[in-house]
Amino acid sequence: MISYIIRRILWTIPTLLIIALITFLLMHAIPGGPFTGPDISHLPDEVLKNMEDFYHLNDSLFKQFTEYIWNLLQGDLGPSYAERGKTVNEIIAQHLPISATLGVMSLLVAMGIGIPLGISSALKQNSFRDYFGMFVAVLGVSIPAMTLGPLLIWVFALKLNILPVARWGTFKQAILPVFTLGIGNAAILARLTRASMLQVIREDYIRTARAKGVVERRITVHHSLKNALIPVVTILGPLLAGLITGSMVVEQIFAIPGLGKFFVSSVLGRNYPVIMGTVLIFAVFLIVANLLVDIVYGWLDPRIRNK
Amino acid sequence: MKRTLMILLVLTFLMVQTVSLFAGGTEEAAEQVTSVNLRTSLNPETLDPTLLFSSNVNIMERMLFVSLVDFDEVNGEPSPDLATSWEASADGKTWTFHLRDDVVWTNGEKLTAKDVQYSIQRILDPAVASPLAGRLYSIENAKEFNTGAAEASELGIKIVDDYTIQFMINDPIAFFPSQIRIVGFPVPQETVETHGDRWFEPENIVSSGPYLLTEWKPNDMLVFEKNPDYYDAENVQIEKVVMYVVEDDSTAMSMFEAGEIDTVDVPSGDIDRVNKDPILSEQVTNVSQLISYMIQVNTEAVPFDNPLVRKAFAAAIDKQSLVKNIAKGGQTPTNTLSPQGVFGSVSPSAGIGIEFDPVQAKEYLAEAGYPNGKGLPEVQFNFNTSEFNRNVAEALQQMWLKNLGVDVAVKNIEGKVYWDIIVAGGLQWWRMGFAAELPDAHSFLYDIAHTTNGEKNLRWHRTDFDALVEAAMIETDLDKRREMYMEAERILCEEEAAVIPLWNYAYVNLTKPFLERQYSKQQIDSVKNWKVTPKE
Repeated sequence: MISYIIRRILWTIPTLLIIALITFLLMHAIPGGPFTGPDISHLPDEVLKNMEDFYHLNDSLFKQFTEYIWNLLQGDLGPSYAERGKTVNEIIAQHLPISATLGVMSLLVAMGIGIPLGISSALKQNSFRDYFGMFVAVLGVSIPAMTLGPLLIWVFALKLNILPVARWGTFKQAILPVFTLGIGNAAILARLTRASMLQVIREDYIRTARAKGVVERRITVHHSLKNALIPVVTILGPLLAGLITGSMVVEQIFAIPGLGKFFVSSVLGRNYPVIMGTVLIFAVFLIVANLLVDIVYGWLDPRIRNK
Repeated sequence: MKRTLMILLVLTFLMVQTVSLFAGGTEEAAEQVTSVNLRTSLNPETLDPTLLFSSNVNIMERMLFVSLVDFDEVNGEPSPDLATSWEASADGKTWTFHLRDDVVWTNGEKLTAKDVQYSIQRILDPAVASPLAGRLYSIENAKEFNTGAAEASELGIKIVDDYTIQFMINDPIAFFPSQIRIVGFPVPQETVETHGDRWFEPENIVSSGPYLLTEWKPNDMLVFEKNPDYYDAENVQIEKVVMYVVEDDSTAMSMFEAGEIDTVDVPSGDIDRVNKDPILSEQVTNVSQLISYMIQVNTEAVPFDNPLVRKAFAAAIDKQSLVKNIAKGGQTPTNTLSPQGVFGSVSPSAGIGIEFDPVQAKEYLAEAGYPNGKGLPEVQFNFNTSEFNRNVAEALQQMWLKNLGVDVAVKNIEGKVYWDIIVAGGLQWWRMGFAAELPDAHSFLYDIAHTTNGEKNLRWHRTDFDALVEAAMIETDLDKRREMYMEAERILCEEEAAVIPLWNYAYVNLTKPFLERQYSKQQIDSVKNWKVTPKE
């Protein structure tokens, strides 16, 4: 197991380099550059040239890429073109913890609501409880955060006046964004848990357990749930990676200084080092999350571990 | 059992983590000082005035630093700040500025002519690569220094004494004080050199303006407190200014309604509701801005290479209806390029430009050889992606169909690509917004349409137009300058219709009754002049 983990970790290095290369080529292939556009266009060519030289943008792409990789290997993600003197390392250090806190809290909410809802629906299939649970889940999947966020603000901040509209820092300020981000995922988890649970409770070994006279409660928790969770865990990996690195929509609606917006603003502003930095950090989290998922698989199902 | 214990431990750990993240973040106790909560849509990209380019952040630059010359918000003319007076030599090529002698840096040192000189030099230093450098190219040897062809010592700047500084300029520009206004914020040499590019962080900054920067959480908030050593501190009333970084306009609007911020610009989707609301409608102010929303035409692209076609499309636009039904923000429809409020703009009563006239529009089109649009090559109108621009484009499309019988295709293009395509000459015509760099018609007519020194995107050339805007640049008789710009507008927007102006931008602002503020046409608000009525 240990050697497996080490092997997987070593594999991330070439994976990241390939991701870096592809991202680098793609972002330079998009038309426009950091210092083009109507805002900046009327500047004299001489001024634009100084600015491009400042960030070595007039070097050959090959030189730019090798320099980037060389700095990357030393842990330096480069400067942000949009904010003089600020490095991508600083941006990530300042904003990632906020996104990660929001992401982890909302994932806990999603799991706390979604998984029990799914189990409860599956155990009483086609009952009112099932229909109601799945109605709530479909609702949750269908309402995007872009709508849910302003709706929650309107109800809880403007009409009921019990929560602040936006910003980040206090427990009260966290409630609305955490739920906005959590509810959609709760709905996805609920539907998945239900479907997978329904499949598992029809398996022979469940019938065997029941025939042996095992208590129903123990069957649900120990025999069905543990096996039913495998598909759920599979999507938790990428979900976690996405949530930790920030949600642009929720962060924008609630004015939260997270990392999410940099994924979008960097592309719009052709802020190359920030594009590279955000893509790489997302890739790292995705790889780590998938590794964790694989480890959890082994714990949930010994058959996987033995392969 | 062991497993349950593990899970419990992990859960406890997570909870402690979460709680500790929020510890100390409790709401601040009610402030005793007069304070105001504002919103900025942009986290400042820098607070170094020698590098700061975004106009949205000017408000903070003006809170922290005195400027050589200020700007009178009423008449758009330069007004005293660090410089109490200034004059040009007889040939108009030497400008002398006389400085106050009572301005001090927050480290206690006096602010002198040397600081002004250092800041100008820093902007022009090619190694600093400031986006502002071009605005100083009128100074002797500035361009040469900025491109590495001259030394800093050769710059046309002369320190006469501690409180007098002279600028030698290449051509006698009439609006030089306005031009230097945007770049004339002195920065503290020693601090800049010690701390480099992050010298303006709260722990390093040395400033000179009405406020001090005491806290800055990137992309979250900035806190400013009154500077007791500011030369005019007795007239600064608000003691603390909190500036929240809130990108989303709707969120800012909700924060205003919940009382979390004290003044906000209303998003266009909320304007109708605000005007109908009995309480909010009392707090509304409409402010026009020095920004033009226009259609620019590639005069080499078929069929727009024919001025009659351009005029036909221009005359078929009902600008009143556009503003009333689509734009909705109290914008002023206009037939000329320079917005009302800049020097040299043409009064609407002068009747210059192309009026809405569907009958005339059809005649122009018939005259051009396309009666009722028959035989007209395909026309596509482009805009940079935004909901607002799309609504405008679709309304224009309807008007052209109704008034000319021409079915124009409309298509959005992503912002940065948009600009590249325009420069490359790939579009027939397109929507453009243009803001005043200085409150002077020069900034619009010359910068957009001059054959060699303008933007060149119109691909349009008239020798008499070029001669007019060149002469106006150095004309010191203000009445003559006005006349020249009026004639230039007539050529560009009426005779040739190479630019089809639609309206001047405006914004709708909401402000809480206890805050008394000014509204800047240039969005360069001076918080130092604002007042708060104490809450009972």
